[in-house]
Amino acid sequence: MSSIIKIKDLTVDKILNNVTFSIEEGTFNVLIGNKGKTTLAKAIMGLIRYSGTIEFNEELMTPDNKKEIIKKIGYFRDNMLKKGTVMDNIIYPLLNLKIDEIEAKKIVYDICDKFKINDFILKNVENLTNTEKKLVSFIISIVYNPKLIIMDDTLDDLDEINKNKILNYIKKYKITCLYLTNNEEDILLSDNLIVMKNGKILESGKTIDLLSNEKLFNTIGAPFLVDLSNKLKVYDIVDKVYLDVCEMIDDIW
Amino acid sequence: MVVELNNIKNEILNDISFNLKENEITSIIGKNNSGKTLILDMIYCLNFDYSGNITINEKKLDKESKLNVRNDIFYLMNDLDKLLFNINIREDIKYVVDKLDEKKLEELFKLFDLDITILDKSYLEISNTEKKKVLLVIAFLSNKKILLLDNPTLYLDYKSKQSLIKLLKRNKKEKIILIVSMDTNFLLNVSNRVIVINDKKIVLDDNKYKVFENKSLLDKICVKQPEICNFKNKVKVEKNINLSNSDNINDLLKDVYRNAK
Repeated sequence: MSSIIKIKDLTVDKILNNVTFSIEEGTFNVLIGNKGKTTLAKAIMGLIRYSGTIEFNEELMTPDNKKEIIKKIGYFRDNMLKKGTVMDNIIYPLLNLKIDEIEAKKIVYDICDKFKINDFILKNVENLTNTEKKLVSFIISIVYNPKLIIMDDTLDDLDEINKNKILNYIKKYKITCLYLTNNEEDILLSDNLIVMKNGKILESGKTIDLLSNEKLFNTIGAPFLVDLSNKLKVYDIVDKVYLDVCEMIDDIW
Repeated sequence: MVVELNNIKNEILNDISFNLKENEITSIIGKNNSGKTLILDMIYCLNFDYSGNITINEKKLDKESKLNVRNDIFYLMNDLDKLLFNINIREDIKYVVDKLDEKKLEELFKLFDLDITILDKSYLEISNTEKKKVLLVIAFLSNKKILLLDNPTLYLDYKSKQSLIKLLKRNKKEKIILIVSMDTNFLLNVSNRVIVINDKKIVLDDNKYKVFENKSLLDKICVKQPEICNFKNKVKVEKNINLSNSDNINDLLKDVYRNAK
């Protein structure tokens, strides 16, 4: 598996300190951190200055090529809608890629159909509910088929149906994902986990390997089953970390 | 103090009635767009587009009494920039808090891991996480009788969530607290009572255990069952063992330990 993005010694004064990690193509990665997540995303999107290096698909990001590179990255976050209609907002990145307007409109209609929001393609974004705004924002970030999507703390106010709409789309189209969050349960969604504290990397690696690291979970919250497993281990009631509730219950009783 | 919602009806809600008092933290859960935030807006006098009435201490809310009513309420809104607009955060805090207790401010900053240097920055220079934490500091500094919290755990890291839980429990005796959230693990820990909204109506208004153990209702409203309740349910179904009600993992742990031996 090739790495889609390689970050080395990324430093932003007072916020990020020598952050180093890489993301393999086709993986779902969760990054937990109390400070610096959005700054990290902004650095990758070329929006702020940093020291250190960012390589995208083996190509080093420079001020000259970053405009082309970020056309391959989707950045899904709150408050990204601009004035205008839903169509105006979604078509914008396509027109930016010099896609023909008629073709671009077709793409927008197609993707809105996939998300069943055809009814409000021509609605002004001001008149959308918060959830609709969020879905539109997600669509904007994937409509141009990016190789990587960065999701910045965006799923925690969604109900299960809407949250799954987004996660299932990412899964279905195998979009490499870097999900920045503090929701410890969502750790279980990931192939790989990166943990930052105060802008420094604490740990990173395969989620399954990191789950038995109890010390790690004193800093960040642990997913419930992991937390319960680790605590029961202390009392010798179980001897491993469980990911399946029924398996744990069977072993205890 | 009592907040009463009486037969509230509009396009989104149909005959919503409930009362709130001190010493009880109430949460509202339901699908996206089911009207939860709208209820908070109505109590805060941001929206009068309904029939029925809302009273605080038996006084009806209306456009004239709007400013008076808001004197007693702190509303943590989804839009973090609504209360942050002054030249710096210190001014933002002073805008809401009459007598600034510097010691309490420091304590709250510490609890939320906020750097004191933020006081000299403006909202434009700080992150969403920091904005959220500042607003929560203001909520607990303001000494307002009524706290309306919309998605309070959004953007918060683990330690800050723990601090928030601690502060809410500490303050519930003298305050009326109403929380809207999708974070059911947090709601299980912190609430006493949960109101469930579905299809424009209140379909259940009961203690948190009754609500969060009702998996079929939670599935219907597309809200995730708290992990502890899910575990408890499975233990009952698979092994026919009744673990006692716990709202945090440490109590659950003790109970599992008791029952496993």
